[in-house]
Amino acid sequence: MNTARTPAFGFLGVLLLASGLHAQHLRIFACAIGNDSTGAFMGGSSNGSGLYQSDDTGKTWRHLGWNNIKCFSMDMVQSSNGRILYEATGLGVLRSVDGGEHWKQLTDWRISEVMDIMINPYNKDHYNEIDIATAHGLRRSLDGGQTWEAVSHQNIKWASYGDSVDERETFYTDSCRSPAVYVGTLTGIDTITGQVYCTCFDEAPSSGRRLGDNTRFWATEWANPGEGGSGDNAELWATPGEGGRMRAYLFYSPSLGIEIWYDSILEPSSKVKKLQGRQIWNVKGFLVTP
Amino acid sequence: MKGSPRKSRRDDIRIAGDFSHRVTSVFSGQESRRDGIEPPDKPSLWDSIPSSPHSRPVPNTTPVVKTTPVVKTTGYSYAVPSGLILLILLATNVFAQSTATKLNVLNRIAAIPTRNDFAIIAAKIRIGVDTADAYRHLDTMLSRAYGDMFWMYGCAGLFYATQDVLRPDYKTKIRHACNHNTPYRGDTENHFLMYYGSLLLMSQAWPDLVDTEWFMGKSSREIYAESKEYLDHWIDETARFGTTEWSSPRYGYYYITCLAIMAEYTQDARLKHRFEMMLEYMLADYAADYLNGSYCGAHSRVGDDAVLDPRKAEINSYGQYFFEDSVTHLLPDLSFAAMTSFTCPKIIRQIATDRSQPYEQFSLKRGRQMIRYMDKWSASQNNLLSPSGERLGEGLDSTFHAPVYKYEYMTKDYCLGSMQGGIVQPIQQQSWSLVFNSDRSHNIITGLHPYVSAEELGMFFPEYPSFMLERIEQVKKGYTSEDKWYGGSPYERIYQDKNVLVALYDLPDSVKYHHVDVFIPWSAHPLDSTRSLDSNMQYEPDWRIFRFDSVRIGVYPLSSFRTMKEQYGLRIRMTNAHSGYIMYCESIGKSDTKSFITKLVHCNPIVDSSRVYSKSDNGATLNVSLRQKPKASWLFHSPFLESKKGSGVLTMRYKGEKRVLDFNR
Repeated sequence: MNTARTPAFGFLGVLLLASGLHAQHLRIFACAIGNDSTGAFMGGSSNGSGLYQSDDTGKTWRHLGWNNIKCFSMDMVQSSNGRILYEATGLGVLRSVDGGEHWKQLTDWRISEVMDIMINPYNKDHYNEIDIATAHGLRRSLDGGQTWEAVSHQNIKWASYGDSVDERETFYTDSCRSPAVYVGTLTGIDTITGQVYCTCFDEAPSSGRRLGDNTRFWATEWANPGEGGSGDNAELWATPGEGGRMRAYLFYSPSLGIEIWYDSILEPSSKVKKLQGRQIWNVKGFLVTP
Repeated sequence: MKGSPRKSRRDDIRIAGDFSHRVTSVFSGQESRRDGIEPPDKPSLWDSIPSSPHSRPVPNTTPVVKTTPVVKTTGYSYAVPSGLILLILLATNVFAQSTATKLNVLNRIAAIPTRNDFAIIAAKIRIGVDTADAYRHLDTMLSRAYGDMFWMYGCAGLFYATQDVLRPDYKTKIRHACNHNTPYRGDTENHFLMYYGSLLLMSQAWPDLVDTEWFMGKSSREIYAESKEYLDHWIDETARFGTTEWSSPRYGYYYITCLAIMAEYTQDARLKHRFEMMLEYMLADYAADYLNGSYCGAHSRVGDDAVLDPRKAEINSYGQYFFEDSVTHLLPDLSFAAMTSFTCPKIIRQIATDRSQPYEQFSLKRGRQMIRYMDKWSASQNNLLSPSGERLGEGLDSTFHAPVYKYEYMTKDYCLGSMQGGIVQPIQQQSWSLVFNSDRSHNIITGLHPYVSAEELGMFFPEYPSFMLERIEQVKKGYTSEDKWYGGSPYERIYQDKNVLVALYDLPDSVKYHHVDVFIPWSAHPLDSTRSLDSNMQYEPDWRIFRFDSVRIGVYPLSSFRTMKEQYGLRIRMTNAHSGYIMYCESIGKSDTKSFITKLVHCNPIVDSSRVYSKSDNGATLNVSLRQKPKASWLFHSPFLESKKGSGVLTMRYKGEKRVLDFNR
């Protein structure tokens, strides 16, 4: 059990320190795609899922916006300090311009299962460039979500796959540094520049997420659960020193406060079992106000 | 009883190009037509039911549905002598649904104790019974911000079906709930149909709301346009390339309910007509696989009960309603259909019930769209290669739907039906069945390899596969069980020729369960009493012969097997890595018992690389090719239904009559 907690708290520590916990007000967002309720995921109503926010470093949480959606990920316009938010959800992309009080669906029936979203932070004038990774491929909007186009093979060199790559096998996107977009696929993380950055393990990570200071890049994979991190914009990758391989999913419990839980393959499902019967949320994404 | 606004509805009846469609008067219960002739004034049973003023926006264009005797259609609007139309309609008796059945169904559903079910509440409000209780439950249904697409279609159905009698304050509450709840859109074809069908009707009801008045931040006009676009897209895709939740005994129920609601209350004439045609399309598809209350053949998604007892399927409720005109399997949503003017065309009912001649039906469906592991849905290289490597069909289409080649052999006594194997739908697939025409329960034989894997879930659902596998039992109980009776397997290959089916399995070491099971119901009596059924015995390949009512069945496991007695029948389990079985069935009128047994036990089945055959009689008893070329260019190909892939046209035929659904016009 301890071996599993150590990296979890380590991760949280990085998260909090990088965000300047002691220097300013910290607002944490968590994206939940379901809890332990029957029907709360996989075709169920996903009651209780959605976006949650904490202003007290995770002691208490409040639900923001829509019920009944799978909130896979989110992003914000960094300069808005949490006012302009984007949700990547099962039914598409939602945007709020008032800190989550009201939301507008930016996509239509064509787009579903949006697994990740990135507002290009380098287009600071208008923040109109939105990249999303869906279960059916990458999409990009250059007009703030009014129109979307598929990001085709012609626009991306998929070095790790060669020409045979299927763009649908993309699930996560994240920006580490301008102008690269990092795309997690079944076999690795690619960029639109064609450079392949990592193979942390025998099987490469499929999920990338930068941390608060924009330099630490963490990645996980689901085919063979594990985790790796890079402290230099994904130039160099290494496995965590402690804890070994970790499952990609994070669990947290509103009723338990700040604790953030990993499920470790060293102790399969031990955390989940320990918390059975309590309010456990399946959290796919975190975001902290800069 | 409240009065019915009959005049306003009759006033809607006018000349229409589609002379043969949607012309039964819901008031008189007799056939009429849209030619301006008033239906008889004679009161009928239906007169006692208050009607919805929104239920009959009759289109005056789009002559797309045709029923023989065919009158040439030359455009969207044309004049046909009204007397001729009346004569045609009376002669062909186009609509078989009885008004008495509608009223009976509605009254019985209204008599169900009130619960949180829009269909029951709607029936009570419509009929005017237990209305206080109904409104109390409606309050509950509208007060919570819970909601998904199932909530939506029920709410929309109630709103329209009772609009002329619904209390105004509840109209306001419904509007508020629909505008402000944030229902789950879901991720399946039936979910999207419910979601966008409901939004279409609700945005139609309140057409001028601005974007800030709807939960998703879009105006009524935007919502209507998006819903219409999706539904048109779905209809086009389905009519041209096949359904993806095909032949579902469970979800077919929801398709029919939604389409009945949408066909009745949509005001746009063209779209309304397309919904009507889709409803007929779904019913025709169902009818061709229907055998006395049982949905036969392979299924994309079957429910827990129906997998071993077909009559318990939700859709059977509609089968009885539309095809039998007598409903014993009563489910609440029938009230929505009973409150519409839709009646099942007679030709579809005839297709569903006439089993005087055996027939084969080939059909092409689509699997659920895949998002991962596209190469793993069938271990036999998309299941379209013969053992010798010959390519026999197409792979995934451009949108990652696997092709599903369905085949049924239907007789008056049984239907043997299958698809080619592999996984094309997660969790609830039933790849083959032998269904008996019987009034007894558990009138089915089926079999499978109980495949359980994170890859199957990851193939169709976006969440992490390992995470889903961990939690799947919470939402789909039984999925991980080694004893389950539904689910596809990538290691299954199925071949069928009329009354003979062969299923072959090649199970790798990595697979979780290394056995193959066949279910034989207790109602199937063993005919070869000399062969024991000892649960402790391991038997070598041999025929097991049974009789179920008027059908004899032979089961030949291709590897050693055990028999296990269970609640509803016998489980035959084979545990070899390379295994399979042969199913042989025959009506009892074909031969006597002794001849049947003798024929099978002496036929000496052989499986080689190209076929499964009976060696001793040189293929006279068994001769199933393992290189069957599927009819990949036909969505339907049978004596009753015909549709060329990509055409968007379905032609129904029955004894010289023809009815055409043309989705291109």
